[in-house]
Amino acid sequence: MRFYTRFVRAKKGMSTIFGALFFVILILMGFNLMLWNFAQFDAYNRVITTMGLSDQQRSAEVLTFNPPGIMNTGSPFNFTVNNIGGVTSTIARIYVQNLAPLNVGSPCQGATGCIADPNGITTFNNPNIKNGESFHVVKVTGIAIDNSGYRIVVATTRGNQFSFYFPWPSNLGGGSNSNSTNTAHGALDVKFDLNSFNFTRGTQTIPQQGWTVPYSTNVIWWVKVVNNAVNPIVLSKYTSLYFVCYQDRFGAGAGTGTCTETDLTYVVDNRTMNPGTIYQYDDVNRPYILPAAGPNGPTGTTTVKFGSFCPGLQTFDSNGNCVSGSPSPPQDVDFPTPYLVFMGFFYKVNGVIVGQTISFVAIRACATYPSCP
Amino acid sequence: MRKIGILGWAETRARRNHRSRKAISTIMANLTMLVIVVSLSSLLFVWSISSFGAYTGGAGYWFSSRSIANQERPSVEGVFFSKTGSTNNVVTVFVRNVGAVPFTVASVYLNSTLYNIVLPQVGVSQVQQVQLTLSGQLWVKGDLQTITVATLRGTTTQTTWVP
Repeated sequence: MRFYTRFVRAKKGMSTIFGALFFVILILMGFNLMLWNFAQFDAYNRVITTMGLSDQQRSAEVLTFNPPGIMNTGSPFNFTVNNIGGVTSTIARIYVQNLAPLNVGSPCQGATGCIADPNGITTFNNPNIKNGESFHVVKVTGIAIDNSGYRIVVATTRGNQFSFYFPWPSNLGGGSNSNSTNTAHGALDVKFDLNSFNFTRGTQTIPQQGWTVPYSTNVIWWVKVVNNAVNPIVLSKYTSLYFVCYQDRFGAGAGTGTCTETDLTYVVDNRTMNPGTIYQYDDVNRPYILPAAGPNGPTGTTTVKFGSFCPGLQTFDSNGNCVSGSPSPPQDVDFPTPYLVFMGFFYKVNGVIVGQTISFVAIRACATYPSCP
Repeated sequence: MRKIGILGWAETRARRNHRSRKAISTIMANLTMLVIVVSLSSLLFVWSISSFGAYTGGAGYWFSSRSIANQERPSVEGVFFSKTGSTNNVVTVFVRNVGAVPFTVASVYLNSTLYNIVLPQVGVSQVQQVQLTLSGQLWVKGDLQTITVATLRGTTTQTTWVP
């Protein structure tokens, strides 16, 4: 009773107690918030660390393949792979796509190509490749592969893709295993031999060597080119031959009026046989496609024809300007004199537009053709 | 002898009351201060509670959503380019989930053109096939095609392919 009485009379100290309690609650709440924040941030950092480690392992994956890529055609086929990365890799899927656009009937074309999956009918074995392992053989069952062009993409469980081409390209531009001489250093090349530069005139359908030609006569030039790159080449409509009568253009006779011309001759469609009927070059719907190189070098030669005064689907108007329309205007060389021929090739390879000049040949246009002493 | 009676007591009381009014301002001031302090403390308390709640709510959502989004790893592991008739207008994309949580592909961009996709969730280590029928553009043999895959949580991955 006495204690109660004293407590009731001691009201003067209550505000201090309540104030203290109030601030203690506030401090505890702040502390609690801080702890909660730490816990959340710690959990977040743990995720970041885990995923960072995963990404690190992903970037440490490096697989390479060995020539000839696929060891045998048909089904099943094998290829070998080396793991030169820092972690063991597991192949999740193998995608095979046929790249040869004109190779109708070959396997692995269409919307889904061919897919080898561990759980599918088309499957493969030996998916685990230890780091440092070389010539690890993977056998793919269910896809009959042939010698047309394929891209094989090997996808790993960590989300990396490694690919190779079959047939295996033996050189990546500039190289050659041919007996003829290279004239260029880029993907596109002209093998210089007796039959690499020809022409037709009049109604000719069989070309003849173009080292000497008649002057002031419409001609179609036939040039054999090859593709050293591992990707197909698509020629642009601006591909052209540039004729310079060098004797007087660059020499002592420059400006004397004997020969002051240059001739630009654009690419024409490959249906063109002679200047009698020139088909305009449509690089969208009917382009020249130079097939990708194979394991033994370029895949054959492609004859590219030139003979138009204007590029692409153009003709010239009454003022001599190139305007849209047809027919394709012919081209010639106007003077009986030697010409240097520069070949300006514009093409698309692996999605990139490339310009390449091949300083290729010299020709002589003469008044006494076919006898040109 | 002092008179004690009801009138005397009332007279005395009234005289004392009259004298004690001199201290009323102190009491009123104390009361006023007490009211102010209590009300402000209450306001501070309520504000701090709601602020802490709002902070923990917002930050908690951020932490949890970013944690989950950070575990997403879409990977475009295969792309096939095909035709409808003679038109180069079909692109098939294979997206694998190499992350730690499932995700949903929300959209696919081909050369910066958006294709909205409605697809089921892609489980961890699973592959989803996405087929695009191009409109307003066609794929071109040999041209570089840039494919970007975006998930519902905002994770994107960009790859380039050559048909």
